[in-house]
Amino acid sequence: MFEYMNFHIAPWGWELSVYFFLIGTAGMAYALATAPVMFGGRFEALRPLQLPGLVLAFVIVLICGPLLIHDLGQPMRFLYPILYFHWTSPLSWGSLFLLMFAACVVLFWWFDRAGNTAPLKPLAIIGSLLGLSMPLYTGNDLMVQTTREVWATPWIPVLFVVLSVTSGAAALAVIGMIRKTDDADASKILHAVMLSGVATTLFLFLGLLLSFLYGSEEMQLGWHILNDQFAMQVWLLTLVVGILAPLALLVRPDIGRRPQILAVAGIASLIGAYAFREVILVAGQLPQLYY
Amino acid sequence: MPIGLQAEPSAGVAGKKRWAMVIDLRRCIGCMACVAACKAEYDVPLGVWRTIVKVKDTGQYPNTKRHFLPRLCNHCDNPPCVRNCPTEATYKHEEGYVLQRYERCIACRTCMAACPYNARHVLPNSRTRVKIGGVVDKCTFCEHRVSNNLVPACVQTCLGRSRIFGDLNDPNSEVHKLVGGMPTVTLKSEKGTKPQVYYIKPAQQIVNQIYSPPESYAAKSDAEAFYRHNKGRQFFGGVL
Amino acid sequence: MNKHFPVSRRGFLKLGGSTAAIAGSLGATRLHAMEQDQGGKDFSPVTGKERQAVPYTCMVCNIEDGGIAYIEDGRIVKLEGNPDHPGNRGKLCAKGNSGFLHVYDPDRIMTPLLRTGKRGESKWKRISYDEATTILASKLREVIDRSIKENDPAIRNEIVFKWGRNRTGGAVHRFMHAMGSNAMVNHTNICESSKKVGLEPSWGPDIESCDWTNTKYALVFGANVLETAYFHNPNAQRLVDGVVGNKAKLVYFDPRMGNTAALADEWFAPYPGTDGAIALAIAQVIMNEKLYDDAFIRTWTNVTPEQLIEHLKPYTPEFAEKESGVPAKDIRRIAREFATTKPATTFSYRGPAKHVYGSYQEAAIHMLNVITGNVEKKGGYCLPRGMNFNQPSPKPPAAKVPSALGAPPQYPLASHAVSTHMPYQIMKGEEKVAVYMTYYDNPVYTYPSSHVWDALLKDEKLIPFYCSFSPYMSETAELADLIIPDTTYLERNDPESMPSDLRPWLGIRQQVIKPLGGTQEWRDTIIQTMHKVDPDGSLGMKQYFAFKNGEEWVRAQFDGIPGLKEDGGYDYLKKHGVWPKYGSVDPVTAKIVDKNGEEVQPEFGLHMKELSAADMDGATIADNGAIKKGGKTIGVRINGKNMAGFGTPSGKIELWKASYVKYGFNPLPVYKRLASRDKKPDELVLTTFKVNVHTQSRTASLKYLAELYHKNPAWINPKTAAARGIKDGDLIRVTSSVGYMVTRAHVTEGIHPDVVAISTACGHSAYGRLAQLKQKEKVAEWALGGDPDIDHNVWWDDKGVHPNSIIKLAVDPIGGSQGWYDTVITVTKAQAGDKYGDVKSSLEVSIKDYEETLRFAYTGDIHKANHKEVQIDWDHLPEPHVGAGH
Ligand SMILES: Nc1nc2c(c(=O)[nH]1)N[C@H]1C(S)=C(S)[C@@H](COP(=O)(O)OP(=O)(O)OC[C@H]3O[C@@H](n4cnc5c(=O)[nH]c(N)nc54)[C@H](O)[C@@H]3O)O[C@H]1N2
Ligand SMILES: Nc1nc2c(c(=O)[nH]1)N[C@H]1C(S)=C(S)[C@@H](COP(=O)(O)OP(=O)(O)OC[C@H]3O[C@@H](n4cnc5c(=O)[nH]c(N)nc54)[C@H](O)[C@@H]3O)O[C@H]1N2
Ligand code: SF4
Ligand code: SF4
Ligand code: SF4
Ligand code: SF4
Ligand code: SF4
Ligand SMILES: [Mo]
Repeated sequence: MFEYMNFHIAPWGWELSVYFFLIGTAGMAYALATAPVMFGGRFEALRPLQLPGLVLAFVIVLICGPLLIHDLGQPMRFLYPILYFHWTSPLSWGSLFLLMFAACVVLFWWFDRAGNTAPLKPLAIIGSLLGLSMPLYTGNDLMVQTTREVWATPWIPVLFVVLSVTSGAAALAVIGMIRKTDDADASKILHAVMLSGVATTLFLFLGLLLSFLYGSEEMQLGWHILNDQFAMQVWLLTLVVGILAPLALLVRPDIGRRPQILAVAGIASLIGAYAFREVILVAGQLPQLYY
Repeated sequence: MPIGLQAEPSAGVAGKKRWAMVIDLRRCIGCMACVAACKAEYDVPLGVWRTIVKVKDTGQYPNTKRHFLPRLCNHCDNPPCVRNCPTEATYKHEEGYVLQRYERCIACRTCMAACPYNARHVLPNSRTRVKIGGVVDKCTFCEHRVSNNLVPACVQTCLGRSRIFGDLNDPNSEVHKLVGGMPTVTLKSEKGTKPQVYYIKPAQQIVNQIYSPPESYAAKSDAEAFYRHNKGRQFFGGVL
Repeated sequence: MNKHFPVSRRGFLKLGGSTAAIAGSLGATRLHAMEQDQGGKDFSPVTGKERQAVPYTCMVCNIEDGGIAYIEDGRIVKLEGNPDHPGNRGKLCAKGNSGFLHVYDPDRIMTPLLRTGKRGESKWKRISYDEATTILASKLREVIDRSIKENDPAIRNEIVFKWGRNRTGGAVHRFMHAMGSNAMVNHTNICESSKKVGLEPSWGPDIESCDWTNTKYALVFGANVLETAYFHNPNAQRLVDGVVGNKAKLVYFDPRMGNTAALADEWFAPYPGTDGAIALAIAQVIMNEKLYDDAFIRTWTNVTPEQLIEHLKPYTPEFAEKESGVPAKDIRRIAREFATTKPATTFSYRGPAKHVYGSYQEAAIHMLNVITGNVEKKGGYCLPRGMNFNQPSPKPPAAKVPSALGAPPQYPLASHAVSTHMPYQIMKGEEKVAVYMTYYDNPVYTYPSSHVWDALLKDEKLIPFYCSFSPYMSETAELADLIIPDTTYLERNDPESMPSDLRPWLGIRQQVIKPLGGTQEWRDTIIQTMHKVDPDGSLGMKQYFAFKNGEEWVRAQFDGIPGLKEDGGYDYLKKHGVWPKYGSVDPVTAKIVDKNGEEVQPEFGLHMKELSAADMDGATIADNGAIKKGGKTIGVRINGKNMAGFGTPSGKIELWKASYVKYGFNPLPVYKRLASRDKKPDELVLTTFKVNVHTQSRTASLKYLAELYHKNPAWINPKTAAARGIKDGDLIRVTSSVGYMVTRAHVTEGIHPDVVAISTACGHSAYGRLAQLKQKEKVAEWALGGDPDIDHNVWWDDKGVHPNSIIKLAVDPIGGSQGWYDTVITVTKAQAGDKYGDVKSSLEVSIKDYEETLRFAYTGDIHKANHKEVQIDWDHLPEPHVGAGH
């Protein structure tokens, strides 16, 4: 007999890190896109991005539904989390919110096209809250796994929200550049959102690392795994590409607000946001695979 | 009353049965009879396990020792797997079992992520004779046998009589007396799961091997083969 | 990362001690049984329906435990131990639990096959059982006709039957004797024969039955009771009961740390082949320090304490330390503990016996029980208990002419023959074969220098016709001309009895389901064949096979058993699987208890049982007290009492063996230093071992077991590895004088630095697709096929490398045992071009090894040089004659 004769696989794979990334981006893209309706005023500058933002959210929802369903072992039962709703499960709530969020996206778009402006504001508010719930609940999905130390911290949902806010802005910035909607005011808002988002991410990144370093046996193994199998995702993609590079580009507003720079920083932060999620989702499962 | 989101305790509820297992590690000889019996009982496919026995060698020649640690679902009294399941496909039976409703499970693997003991797996569809597949499965404490007044299959065949099974709430039961009278430990008790599989005299090494990946080539190469095999398959999340 | 804390053994013992004390006080409180029933029933987890239960006797390995098969819709879905069985008391080991997979092995042969290509080319034509038995019968008839025509009964010995495992209850002998052939070759000299030959001349039977449960001290040599050995499952249960429940001390000797070493209070790793020195030194301490049982030795043996003290003089603990590496101070201490702790017992299996001169080692260990008077005591070293059943009448008379095949006359003491020599005898033209049949036998995989068997069986001149009865395409079966597949052990009939408990039992195998897909059990094949060999009965052979079928044959074997008929006879066995029922198993103590919860005690002191007047009727008493009747010793008179005694000519334990000295061997146990002990410093000794979840060559195709254990890297000590620049997992080349193999290193602290150990059961080049990890290939048209689990879910990718062809042939000149653990090797990192799994070996070298090993036989030149101490007339040793070893 040798030491191990049985092995386990990590239950959640790339489908979920892609989903977490996309749905967070969609949620915050929706919030930014509907901000003019919600707040008006300074946010009117974002008006040209409303339609692209909605389309983006819509496309992502279209991708995410099948992606999530595909990830199930029993795809035909995808409505069961709602049918057999279990209130202590974030996944049940998430399924419900996802469906409602998708509805908001579609309805907002529909009413907007139909020229019916009355429901837009409530839809913007509700939809944005639901959009916010996307990164929140995906983070909660991990946070409530109290048995996995890497996940079981309230910073995870916070991090996911921050990553999503940045990603939402970044996605709009990229679209803005492509569509040449050169608008200094819009750039200003997106720049401010992205800069504060990336800065906060750096702060959270360092905090999480510290918790690994000072952690229990499981966290120490987590640290080892990060540096072993995920070194590229952690240090290169998340830290350098995803945080430091955008920070450097954005830190001087005069440069950072140029649409091209903003877009480049946006792409870099998007890469980082995905890498960070993959690190947390996948690496977070590994320390106890051998248990 | 459950406090917050914690489960209602099933151990120590008067008038109710609370099935539990005691594993006397002094008596485990690593024969793997339990593993084979459990596989046969449920047509458990290759690559997934309801129960396993971990093996660990320690020390230096000639002061070498070998340790065994049989493992299965702990039928936790505060099961995180049940708490997080979006469909209540997994649930806590009033006699303490944590069970699966196959017809409801969507195989989202939330429960697998929640279980700190790796006690759960996705059942492959390709099985020898039983046609249930593509859902999450785990040890049932042999509910179908126990409710027919039999011990679980792994207990039945245990060569060392290391596995002992019974009703913890019955003051005359052997498990009650063992848990009451012997120093026992449960695994990862700090996780708050309140496991109901109790171990007698575990060696510290084996309890502490909690997060240790295989060290020997023999085990490492098997682990690699296992991951290679699973890599192309659905539900593969692990990266080695 | 995560290094495990090294832990000293002493720390462990302390920990063990303190909890053991708690356990002791708890013992009294463990009055209530586990409340749930232990077994005997089973329900489907899917439908909840109760499953049909049919008892049987296990035969995954050869311990023959009792089982119950559970059947759902005509399919065996699960096996369980038979709770009425006194041996295994309701439990099966991992192999036993997996045994039903034999039935549904997708590569099982489902129809007789006739070779169409060259031998071993795997080209087959499917034929019917009727056609197959016609072919076999005509081949047999040819030989019989030739023997009649030439009026030479010796020709019948050209009909050869070779078996590995034979649990037919005498059916093979009946078949062969009916045809007048004595050419029956077993496998026992690769198994444990020298153990038997170390014991039989001393006290009669070939094995001991230890009362593990009640012992206080178990001294075990090279018997991996918790994983293997006779009687793995029953003994493992009892050993745990003894060590944990009864707080017995377990001291274990094995160059390798298996699971038995892991449970032992003390584990010692002797240099291979030196157990004899250790045992003799222990005996010396016991004798010199007057710790022996004077009365027992004087009353019950054919030696005196004085004689033993004199004989043991050279074997000081210091001498034993020099030979074995086990410290003299430990040997002294163990000797004192063993002699003063009562009751105590030794147990030994292949570790000490499977060496050149293994018989001496076994005899030395056996002696320890005798001098301490632990024989036939509760908690001690007991005689095995079994039950007999006969072949039904009329019985064919034994064949007339003895055969030397596999039983060369140079080994008169090897009462279990020397089957390893068969191919060489045939290749050298000493023996002739016309029809060769094999049953449960796979020498191309299981024998030392196994390539020799491959060469033999491929040679159509030497083996003109070969018929295999194997249900699996083994390394050997694939060389056959005709395969008439047997059924699996769950689909056939056999009588059984094994001394696996101190209470004797009888059991059966029966067809728990109808043989799958029209396959036919071997007995039916034999009945059909014999009806075709002698269609009109004129040869006088047919009368011995007048059974309707296999079941009727076995049923007839149980006719005359006293007491069975009253309980319901054979039908009782069909229903319960085992007879008698002594009581039920107490779930907490595992003792067999009666209705009142009292233990059903086995009988002890069998040798002191007084003979009845009827026994004594017509008996005479010899000078030495032996009670003789009909030319046989039936007991011994001691102090005026007529007692049963032991199965020796004197009725006493004959530590001094007249049979040995007759051929120039030492009548008392001695230690002979082996060539492997004199290896060069850079050389190593290769040993092999069995693992708990496999048996022989037969289980690599059982998916649950293959999943648990599928590869067998070579165990090597870290120091030894480091000295050769070898790291864990490195590709290495293991070279013996016969050849080399390329495998991987398993660097482990659990092995003697001079030893490399490679397990059996892996590295198949045949035996179905799973065993060879070719499960993605298409299933053969003659096979059962169809297990989606195997098709899709096999995750491991290493099948191991089998060492047998580089293992040197070398046998014990006394017991005839193959010296499995005597091969000297070198180990290096693999060379350029070496591939994992490469094995090369030389036929010429093996033939030389054969000649070399004959030199150790009593007729050989080395024999006398090795036995200078034996005072006999060396010029007039008895002439070798064929049949002596049978
Ligand atoms: N699981 C399982 N059980 C079995 C079988 C099986 O194949 N598998 N086969 C059955 C059969 S046929 C048999 S014959 C028995 C065999 O049963 P055992 O004799 O117990 O088994 P082996 O593994 O052949 O050898 C026992 C031990 O001897 C050690 N050894 C090697 N050389 C020496 C030596 O010089 N001195 C000492 N003291 N030890 C040494 C080996 O390391 C090994 O651990 O098991 C029976 N039971
Ligand atoms: N290196 C090394 N080699 C060893 C040993 C060792 O310790 N080390 N141990 C030795 C020992 S102890 C033993 S006992 C031998 C055993 O060696 P063998 O007796 O040769 O081997 P088995 O595996 O028992 O059986 C062999 C064949 O029986 C056939 N068979 C399987 N099932 C059935 C069936 O139901 N009916 C029939 N008719 N045939 C069937 C298959 O063809 C199988 O290959 O191996 C020995 N070989
Ligand atoms: S996989 Fe099945 S049992 Fe597990 S959480 Fe999802 S639905 Fe529940
Ligand atoms: S061991 Fe795991 S699967 Fe079993 S009840 Fe506890 S958390 Fe759930
Ligand atoms: S209790 Fe039943 S399901 Fe659980 S490990 Fe034991 S045999 Fe398997
Ligand atoms: S059956 Fe019992 S003794 Fe054997 S490995 Fe399992 S728990 Fe240990
Ligand atoms: S030891 Fe295991 S395989 Fe051998 S007869 Fe007993 S149960 Fe069967
Ligand atoms: Mo054997």
